[in-house]
Amino acid sequence: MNTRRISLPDSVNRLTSRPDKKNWSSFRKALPGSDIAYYHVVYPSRVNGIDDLESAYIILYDSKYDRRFRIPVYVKDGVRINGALSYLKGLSINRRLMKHGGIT
Amino acid sequence: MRTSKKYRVTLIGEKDNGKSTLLGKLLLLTGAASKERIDDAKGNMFGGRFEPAFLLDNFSEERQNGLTLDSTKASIFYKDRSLEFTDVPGHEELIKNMLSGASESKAAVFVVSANKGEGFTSQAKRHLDVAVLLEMKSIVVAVNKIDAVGYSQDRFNSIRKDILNYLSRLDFEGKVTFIPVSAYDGDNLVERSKRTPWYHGMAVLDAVVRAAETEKPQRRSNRLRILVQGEVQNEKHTLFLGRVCSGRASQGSRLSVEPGHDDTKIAALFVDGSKAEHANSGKNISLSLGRGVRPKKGSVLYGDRCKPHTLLVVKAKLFIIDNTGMVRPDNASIKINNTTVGVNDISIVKSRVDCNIADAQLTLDKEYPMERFETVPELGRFLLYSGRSLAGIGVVQ
Amino acid sequence: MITVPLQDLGELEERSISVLREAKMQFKRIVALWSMGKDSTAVLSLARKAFMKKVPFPVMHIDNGIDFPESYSFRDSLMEKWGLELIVAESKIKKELSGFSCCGANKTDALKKVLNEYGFDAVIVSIRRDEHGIRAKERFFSPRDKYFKWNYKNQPEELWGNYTSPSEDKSHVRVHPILEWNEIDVWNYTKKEKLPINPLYLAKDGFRYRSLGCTHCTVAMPSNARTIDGIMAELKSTKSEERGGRQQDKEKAYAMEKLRALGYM
Repeated sequence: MNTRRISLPDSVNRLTSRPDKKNWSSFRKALPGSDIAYYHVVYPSRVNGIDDLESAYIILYDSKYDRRFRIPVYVKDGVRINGALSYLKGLSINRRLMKHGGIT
Repeated sequence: MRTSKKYRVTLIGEKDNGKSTLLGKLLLLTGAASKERIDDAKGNMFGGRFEPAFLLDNFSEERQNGLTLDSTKASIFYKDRSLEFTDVPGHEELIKNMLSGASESKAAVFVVSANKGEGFTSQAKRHLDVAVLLEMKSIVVAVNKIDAVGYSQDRFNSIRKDILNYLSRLDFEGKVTFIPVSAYDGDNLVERSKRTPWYHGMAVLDAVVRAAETEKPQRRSNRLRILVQGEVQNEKHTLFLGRVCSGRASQGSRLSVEPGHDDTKIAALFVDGSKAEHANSGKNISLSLGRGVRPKKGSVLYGDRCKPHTLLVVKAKLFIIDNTGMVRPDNASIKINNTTVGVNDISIVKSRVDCNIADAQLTLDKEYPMERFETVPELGRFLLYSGRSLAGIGVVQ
Repeated sequence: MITVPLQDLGELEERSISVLREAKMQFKRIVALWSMGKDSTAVLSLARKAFMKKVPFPVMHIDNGIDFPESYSFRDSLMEKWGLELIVAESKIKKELSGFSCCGANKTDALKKVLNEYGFDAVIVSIRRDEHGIRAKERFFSPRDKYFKWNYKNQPEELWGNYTSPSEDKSHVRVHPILEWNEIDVWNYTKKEKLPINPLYLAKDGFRYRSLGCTHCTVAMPSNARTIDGIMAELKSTKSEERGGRQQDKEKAYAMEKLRALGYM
């Protein structure tokens, strides 16, 4: 059994090419050891269904608010797709990007 | 931050007399309607002109048909007071909804139309019946559509006389004030109108504040009574859930349980989940009781300075919803504090012509703890059922 | 400019506790919906007051996977702290739905499924009358039929603390313990009880969230309110209704009514 924790950049790569439960879990394990602190979710204008969830994405920022990575919003398990934001527990939304009228 | 006292006021009156328009106009004039609420009301107009009533009538069906389906609440904050208005449906069939909306208020605004062919009709009377039964202490009568009768003082006085006569037949003991208004134009709602120079009283909003503040002298009891709501298991013990209806509960208080005549005492008293020495009237509590006594839901626990009081025959003032049928004794029951008690007989002691309030005597199928409404309101008011439908409401005399 | 006054918390709390206790006595299987927002959290805290510091029924999060990460954290920590029995019901984001309907309809389906699966006969929901015009007509105990529809024209009577009982022709009953609370009362209570609050509510970098939906539908508002006192001060002098930051509410109210009648909110 491989107990070595993979690095965050590696887990991000895996996640981007294949956002399944296993890769999200690895990402989740790699997160605490990293300097990632903030997130920002970008949705296409409407989340109409499965397609749109696949075109949304999350930008991750470090504690200095520098942009670091881009990852998917969803987790795909076989045929089922769901939001994956629970894997980002512990991060805070980046409010410095908000304008009057707000963005999420 | 100070807490404003909240006054509950119900608008009653027949359909089409302008209750919703009156309240909607008050919301607009006092600035109590938020911009969103106004835009929202305007946005769903389905053509036609904007009616202040749209601020209250939230269902698209209501706006399309000009009909309030169920009670709506709206608050106006005026002169440091929080006035919570309930607008109830005036339609005959919706009287159940009307009762639900009106039951918590102490003051009412009775809207009656001055218009020819309208006025103080028998349907309008039923609304007043409810206000009287619910012992509303003060009624503001808004004689609406005064513009439609040319701001006539004679017409106003004639309606005023009819209503005063009716109220005296009902033995109404509260205060009543009459104001000529035009809800749509806003006359005499917030400010006195120049179009009724013969009228020298207050405008509606000030009259409502005064009405809401009228307190009848209290004859409430302050002896200990606890209403049992149920029980829960806590670790290995059974705790009884209840509420102090009157008086003050204390750790160690000796209690008498009705129905059943059992004696017990408060072995442990809990408030909000923590052990407490005392609990005042109005508080929800949990109790562990001595001597293995297990009061059922609906029982009342009486303190030792309070005489336990159960009734088999109840003298009550009843408001009957349906004025065509009698409530049949073989099908009747009352519901009080979510407990149902069967009724074996109802006899009318005094009925009044053209009025839905009757003095009655009900014989229950078993003794039940009840009190006069003015002494312990929570134990003196009930719903009357015929089978499964609501037939009326009653207060114990 | 209107000022929103505070109501007497004592009275409000006792009424809510009474409603929760009555629900527990009348229904066999109750569940409380929890969105990790201030209202549903306040309801759980009131349940702890009603039932000896425990929440004696399961708590359900209807999760579409795109809630805020802060909410997920809050959920897990409060679940542990209060020993909550948590059920997470996954709801999928549906095709052909957008904005408002998205949050509503996909949650309705998840709710339906879970209610049937677990056989719940009462659902505790934290809505308040002041949230939206249509909610002004709700009752403390509001039945839903077996199609989940709300028969708003023919609601059961609710007088003098007497509420609807279970019966065969209902699918379930919605229980609304904080129906009479205003937004500011919930904050006042949260402050008084020192309840944990979701960090999204407090201002940071000039923005805060007034109400919490999912990350797709919810927008932040400009604010410097970094404490509950700050929030309450801002509330005292605003006319903008609470859900104004949620895109779904900008859609037609008619659609909302349809959705209510359909069953989620």
